[in-house]
Amino acid sequence: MIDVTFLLLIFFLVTTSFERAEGILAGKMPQESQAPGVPLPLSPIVVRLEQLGVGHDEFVIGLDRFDSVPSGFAELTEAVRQIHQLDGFDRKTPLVIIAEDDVRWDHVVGCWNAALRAGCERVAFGEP
Amino acid sequence: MQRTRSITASGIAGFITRGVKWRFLGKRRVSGPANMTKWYPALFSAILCAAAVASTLQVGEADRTVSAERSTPAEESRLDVKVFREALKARGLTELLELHLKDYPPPGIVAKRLMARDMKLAEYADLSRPLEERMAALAEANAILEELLEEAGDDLRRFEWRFTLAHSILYDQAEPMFTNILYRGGSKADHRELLELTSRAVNVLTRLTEELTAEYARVEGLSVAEFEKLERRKYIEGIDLLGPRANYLLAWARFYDTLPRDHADPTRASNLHRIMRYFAENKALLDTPHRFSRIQVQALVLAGMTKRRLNDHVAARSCFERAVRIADRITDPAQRSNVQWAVTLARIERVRNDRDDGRFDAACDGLADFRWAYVQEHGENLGLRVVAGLLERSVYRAWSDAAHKAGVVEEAERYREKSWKALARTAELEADDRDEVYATLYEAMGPDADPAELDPFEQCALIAGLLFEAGLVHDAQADDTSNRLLDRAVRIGEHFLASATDSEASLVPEVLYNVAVAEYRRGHIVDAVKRFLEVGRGHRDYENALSAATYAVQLAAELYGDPALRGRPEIQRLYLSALRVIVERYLGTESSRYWRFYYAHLLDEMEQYDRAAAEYALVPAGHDHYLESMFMRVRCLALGLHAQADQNPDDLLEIRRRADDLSAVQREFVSRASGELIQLQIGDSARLSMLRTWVARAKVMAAEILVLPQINRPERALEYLAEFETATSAADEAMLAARVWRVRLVAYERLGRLDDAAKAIPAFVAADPAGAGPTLQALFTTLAGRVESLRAAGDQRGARQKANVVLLLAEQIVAWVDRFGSDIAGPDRSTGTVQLAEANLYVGRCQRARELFEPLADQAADAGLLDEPLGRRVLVGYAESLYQLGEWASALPMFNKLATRLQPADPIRWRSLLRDLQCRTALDHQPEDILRVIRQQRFLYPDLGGSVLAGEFEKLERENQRRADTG
Repeated sequence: MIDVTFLLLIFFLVTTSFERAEGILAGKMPQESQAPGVPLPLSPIVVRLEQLGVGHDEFVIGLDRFDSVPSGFAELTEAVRQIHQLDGFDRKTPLVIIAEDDVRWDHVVGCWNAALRAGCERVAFGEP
Repeated sequence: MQRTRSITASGIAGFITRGVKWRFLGKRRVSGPANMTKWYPALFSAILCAAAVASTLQVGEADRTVSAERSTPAEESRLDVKVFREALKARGLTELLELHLKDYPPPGIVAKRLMARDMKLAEYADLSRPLEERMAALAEANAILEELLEEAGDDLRRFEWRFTLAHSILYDQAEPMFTNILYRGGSKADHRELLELTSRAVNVLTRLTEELTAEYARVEGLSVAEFEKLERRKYIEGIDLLGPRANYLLAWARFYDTLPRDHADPTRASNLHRIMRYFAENKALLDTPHRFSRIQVQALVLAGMTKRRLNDHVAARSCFERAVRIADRITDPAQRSNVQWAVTLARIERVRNDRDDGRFDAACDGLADFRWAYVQEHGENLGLRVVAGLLERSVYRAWSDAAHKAGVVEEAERYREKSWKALARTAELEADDRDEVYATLYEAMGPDADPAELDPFEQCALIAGLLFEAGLVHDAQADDTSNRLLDRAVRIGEHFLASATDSEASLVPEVLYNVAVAEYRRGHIVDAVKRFLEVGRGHRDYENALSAATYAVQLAAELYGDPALRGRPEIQRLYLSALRVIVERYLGTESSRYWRFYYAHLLDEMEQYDRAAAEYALVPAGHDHYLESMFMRVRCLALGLHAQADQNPDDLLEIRRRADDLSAVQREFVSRASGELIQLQIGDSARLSMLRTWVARAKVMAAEILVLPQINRPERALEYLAEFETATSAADEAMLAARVWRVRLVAYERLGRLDDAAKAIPAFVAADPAGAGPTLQALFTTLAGRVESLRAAGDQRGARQKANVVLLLAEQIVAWVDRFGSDIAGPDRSTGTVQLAEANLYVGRCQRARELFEPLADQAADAGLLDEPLGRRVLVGYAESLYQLGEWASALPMFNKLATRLQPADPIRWRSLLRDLQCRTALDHQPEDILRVIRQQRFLYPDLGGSVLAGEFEKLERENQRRADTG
């Protein structure tokens, strides 16, 4: 019986395929002290998340000092990519996510993933 | 500021008493019919056959007898001593007479007594003496006569002496009392004193009639020779005349004796019946035509009064009507005059008789007749008007009582109201009338009257009477008595005010006024002011309203002037209310004109400068403080303008309008003051000095307005102050120098006369070392702001020019902080040092700036103060000094910190960002990075911190583009 059980365990281990994690979660936040010399005084791209109501989808995404108002995370990814094309901006331009306290965590994670999908190399959270 | 006032508080007490002062509280006489003694010469001349008075012959004879007995001094042969003495008496030279009598005393005890009595009578006749003294002399004279009667009881002259004594007691001593009682009701004292006197008079006359009866019998028994001897000396004739005279006088004495007695007193009834018996036995007195008897009218009045008191109203009415009718038929003016008192009394008694008989309508008709008659005979006579008022009141009271008894309550109330209003109407005509009426009522009531039993007008009289009496006893020993009376007056007044009905409203202001007076005398000044204010504010038609308002403001001013009370808000409010009442409700009065200045001054003290200035403008030209009020107006306008400029600095229209007003008033003041200064060149040095000070201060105030940014006429301000040092006294110069130098400093700076400004700063600090700090700081802030503005605008040259003055100011501020910083409010050491370092930067002294900034930057970093405004100024200043000195690597992290931490709206952020990139350029950092930052910032913030900085960024961009292109 024990043998059968052990064989079944090996079978499941071999046949089961794990879903790959979405995006890449950075293990460490960017640190100033780690940058060489004095950092450039660039202004970050600021993404703001605001909860409008109690429903799951009742939130809004904003981009400080940019006209576009993405309606979802896919549109956010596209908008950030376009910003990277502007003079003075690129993937190294820091992106700061500022979420209100009542914003759902999965929206914050969605925003993070959208930034990574757009190719942002420096993503951080800011205080609302 | 202490000022003189035209009416002092000490003057108030005396002035106030006028409200309740009476001319004759005590022994008053009714004008017109008062002299009731006029009848008796007529009696002598008519009924009693008008014989010469024997007594004078008897006295003369006695004198002659005595004079023969003594040795006559030599000079007596040339001097008639009797004539000399009579002349001295007639001229009131009693002291000379006394001296004469010491040298030449009359011989014998009788002559001495008679002479002593004459002396006392001369004192009594001397009208220059006080009434009390005269009455005391009269009492002594009568006492001497009584002693003489005891000592010389067998003297033939005793009958005449006794008659004279009784007559004097009745018509000299008792007259004021029975007049009061007969006409006005009289006081308790009147009743008490009259009873004592009339009892004496009745006794004297009774004894006289008894002695005369005995003497008649004795004379009847004399031999013919003895009788003829007496007859030749006219003795028989004398005692024959004296009998009827004594009986007639006794009848009147008995009548007067009934007046103070209670109705239940058996003596009263006995007296009245004896009088009627007398008339029954002497019917001729009532029936003999007046033209023959000369006393018919008087006898009828006496009979009528007696019958009224015996409740025989019909007979009494008949007597009075006959008396009046007979008197009306008298054509001889002298005779008419002789009976006038009796006719007046008959009319009064007729009204009383109808009243007592319940014939109220007839009483009212009689009253009208009385009023008409006395006006015809005496004109508007105050005494008789008061009597008429009292009479009317008594009629309506009786009417009210009758209605009440009949159960007609409403009518009873109506007559009750009419009764007190009758007197109130009498009192309304003039203040003196009211005093007279009050005095009469108060005398009758006494101080202990129960107000619950008094009508409203009597309550007013009681309050006034208590006040008056308190005034009489107001001295150190009698304070308790006085205070008790005043407290009672206040209590009665307060109760009256609390319960006054609409019909009593006309009495309210007077009660308020008298309560205020009582409170004042009691020492309750605040309460007094409040009551006076109520009168002044709410009862302008009341005759003493202006006085009340004036007292209120005087007393309130005294309270406000008391250092112990001055700070209390309620005292200030009280004073303000009092001032407002007098100036607003009594426009055009002298008081209003006088107190206007103080009203303005109080508003000034309360920092209501606009209102104060408006009130100062209304102070009339003749006022003692007119020039001062002009000066104070200038001051208030200036303070108001400064306040306006602080609160609404952008309201240029209003600020300039105010400045124009101020300028006009200031010019007018200086012109007038200068005119007076010329006149005062000789004498009154205090006034001269004060005027000079005002003129100097007014000029400085005007100059200060001219350097306000909104007015900005610095050249005119300098003109105003051009002769300040030469035209101003040393004391004024010391007082005003700091303000003058401040104005000059600002004016020089505005005019770009920076050298003059630089010179002015030390003078300014020297003028006011301790107070200079805040002003220097304010100037520094203004100038440094302008330097920054010039630099921001790219005008480096202009900025550097002003920066020199800024540096000088900064150095003075630091020096001031070193000297006074810990003691006086002003800039602190850190701020001063930062300012000094910044000023060094402005003028390009970067090393000095770095030295000053460095320790501050370390402290700021240690204390984490970089988020504070001063901390940021230190960091940016330090970084700037390093940058200017070429220490870019050291400066870069500081600029970078400021550029990345500060918000884009902060100008320091943009300058720091520029400096950050300039440092990187100087340090040969990657030009692409620098270009990327510039372009990113231009995308995000197209104006790049303003046109000047945007230009700098463009310049930097071109330089780095060139570097990038050349590799």
